[in-house]
Amino acid sequence: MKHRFSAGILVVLLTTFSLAAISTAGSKSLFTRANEAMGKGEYGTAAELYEKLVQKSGYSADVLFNLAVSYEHSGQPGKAILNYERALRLDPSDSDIKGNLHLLRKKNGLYAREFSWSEKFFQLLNMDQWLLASLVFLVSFTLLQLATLRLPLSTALKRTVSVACLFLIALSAAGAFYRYPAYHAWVVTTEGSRLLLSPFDSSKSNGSIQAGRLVFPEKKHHEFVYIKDDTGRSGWIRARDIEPIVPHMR
Amino acid sequence: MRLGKLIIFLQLTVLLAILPTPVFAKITAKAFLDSTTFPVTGAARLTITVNGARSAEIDLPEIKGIRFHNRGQSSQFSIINGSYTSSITNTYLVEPLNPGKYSIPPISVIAGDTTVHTNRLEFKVTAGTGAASPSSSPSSIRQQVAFIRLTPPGRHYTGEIIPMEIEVCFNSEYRININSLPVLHGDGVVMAPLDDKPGRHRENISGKTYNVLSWNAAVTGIKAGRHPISFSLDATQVLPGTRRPMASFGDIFNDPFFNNFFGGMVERPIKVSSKKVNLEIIDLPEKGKPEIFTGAIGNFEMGVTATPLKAEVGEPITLTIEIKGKGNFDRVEPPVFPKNSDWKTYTPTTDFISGEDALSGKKRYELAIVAKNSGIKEIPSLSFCFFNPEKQQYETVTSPPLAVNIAPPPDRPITSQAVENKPVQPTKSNKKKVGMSLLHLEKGTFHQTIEPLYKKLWFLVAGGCCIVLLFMVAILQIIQQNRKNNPQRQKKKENRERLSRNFKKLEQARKDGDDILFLSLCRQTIQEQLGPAWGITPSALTLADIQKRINRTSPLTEIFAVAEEAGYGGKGISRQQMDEYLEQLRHELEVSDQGHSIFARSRLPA
Repeated sequence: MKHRFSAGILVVLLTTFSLAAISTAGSKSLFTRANEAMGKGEYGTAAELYEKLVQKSGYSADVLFNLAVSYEHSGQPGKAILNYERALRLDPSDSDIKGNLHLLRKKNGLYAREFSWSEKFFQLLNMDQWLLASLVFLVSFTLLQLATLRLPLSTALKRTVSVACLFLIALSAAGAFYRYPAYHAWVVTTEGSRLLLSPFDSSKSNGSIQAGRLVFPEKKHHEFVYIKDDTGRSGWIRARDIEPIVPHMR
Repeated sequence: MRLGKLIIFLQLTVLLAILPTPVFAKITAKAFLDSTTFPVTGAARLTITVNGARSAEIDLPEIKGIRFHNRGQSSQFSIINGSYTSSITNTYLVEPLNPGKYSIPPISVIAGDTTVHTNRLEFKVTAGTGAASPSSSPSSIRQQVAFIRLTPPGRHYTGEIIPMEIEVCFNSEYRININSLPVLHGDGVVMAPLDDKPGRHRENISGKTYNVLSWNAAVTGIKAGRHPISFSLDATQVLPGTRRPMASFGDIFNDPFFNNFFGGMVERPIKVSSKKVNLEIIDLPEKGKPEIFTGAIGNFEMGVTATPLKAEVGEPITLTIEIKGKGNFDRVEPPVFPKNSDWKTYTPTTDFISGEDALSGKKRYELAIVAKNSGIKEIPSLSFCFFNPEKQQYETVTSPPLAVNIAPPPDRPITSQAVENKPVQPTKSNKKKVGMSLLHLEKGTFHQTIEPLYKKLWFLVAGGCCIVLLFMVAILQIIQQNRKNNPQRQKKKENRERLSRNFKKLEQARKDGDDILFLSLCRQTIQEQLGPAWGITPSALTLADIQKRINRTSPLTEIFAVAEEAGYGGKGISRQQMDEYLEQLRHELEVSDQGHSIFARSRLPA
């Protein structure tokens, strides 16, 4: 009976490992094939393969970056910007992603509005980085408070460090709060999309909106979404023309 | 002085004798209706005049389908050739509830002891809505609560924006609330949403004052033909409610203000409609229609600028195209950039700024263009075509070419063509060069979702722990602070420390075999421990005090007595006794310090 049970476990483990190995091999081959397609200049094929890889294995900053590059070269700036933005969410400090995104925006004339000095300051970090900063300051503040229970620190020192910590916590929380909408923005992915005055097809147009523009949905009506873009324009757009940077749960 | 008074008295007597005695005329009552035919949405004014009476009570009959609203009373009197006349005029608003023929029977008027009756009145209520055009006769306007005036639309082209002024006139004598904006009725035409804030002014129409609300509407014909259109608006007429009898308050409430106040207000929905007007729509002429025409109708101007005018190959230049004027801006499309191998163009962005009226405005396009080759000297001219309805012809405006200076890129030109033609090669840094982009050759770590930090478990746990720890630290700090601030606790602590010090000294004295010092320390310890607890200065505590408060058989009494005896008489004790005393002291005083103590056994409260 014992031997049978052990054999059963062994079979299950072997099957699991084999499946995992096959899956990894599959991912590798997809990635390699996609890279090869990129090398041959078959950007459309490469984009499809990267998309398959993302669907199969999940999101990786490097794969999303390559996917964005393939879209960029296959003439889909909207999709390219969407995937660069997604890659930035996973690796905010990657200079390749930042550089390519900046160039692509410039190339497509996707200029943002002029920001005030305070907005520029908060844009130094993204929401995750501001949140991390706030956690670091919170931990420092907590350790300081624990230390004051045992260590004979002077009141002036305790007060100064506490006020500094609290100020930094508040500042980073404000930064995270300010950067929240940008983190959860959507991207116009379809070329030639139009902003409409009302949520129906025959409505008058408010103007066109370029693929790659960051937009912030406010409300939804059937197949239309009321959005505001990063230049301050607003209007209704077809839901299928925009995609969220932070995708929904897989 | 007396003579003066006498003269005044005589003058007054003569004057009274000369004045004739007032003669009151016969009491008569007359009813008058200012209109005998009026619509159900309107009202008529009923005036009852009572001649020859200073006051009168009017008994209005109840008539089915009719409501009377008291609008006030006026009275006048005059003396002409010794003849004294007075009259009272009561005004009522007659509000019909249903169309039909009505008759007001003779109304009873009671003036003192006399009762008179008015004449019978007949009138007709029509089913009309109260709408009329400004061309209606003055008499019909006079009866109207509200009406809509329109500017004649004339003949226009399909897609052309037709400015129309909608004026809704409300008779200032009536209180009216608006419930909706004017609504367009008619096929083949559409109207842009109206402004929530219409223009307001007062106007005298046929001798009546009207409050006029005006909207500048933009109507567009979408198919050719003759389209009868009209506008309507929902409103509520506020009427004073029927007065309740309040006889006990007498004539004070015979005032419209109090009447309205106590009678309440009645709301009646009304629909104000305009007369139908014909809008003639014709198609745009096919003859001479340019290919680039996109449907813009009006009168426009175009301006084109570019920045920067000096650029390198591959560097974007922003072309700003501004089209301004009057017309249907929704049909204005950006001019098409001529197909050219020298330039790469992108989809333009649009921005529209509306002007003072519904027709005028400014549309701005920003088009990113990239020079593909160096040596390009100019940005080609752009053309925009529109139909001018005033001139009834198509017009094309063309911008002049803009001179630019395109330099070659500083190093190797990076173009999309270069990307397409050259296969990528791996580099040392595990990255491939693809045009302007680098290709990553490592897959990196996969995540099932792109999750913000605030949703990650470790972040939440770390933050939560910090908050819990801070909370605990705060509680501990409060406890510490409370301890510091409690004098009794502080005293107890000091007592404990003193007792501990004394026991150490006692131990030392016992070890040294110094019985006199031992007993002296015993006495001091008892005094220091019990004195403060009983509110006595330790040095002033005597054996008598201890005996009073503690049982005589207590070891403390005995030790204290022996210690006093030793202090005064020099009588010592053995080492064994010292051990016993120390043990007893420790037991009694340490236990006492913890609460269930010798104080509990004492005869007097501590």
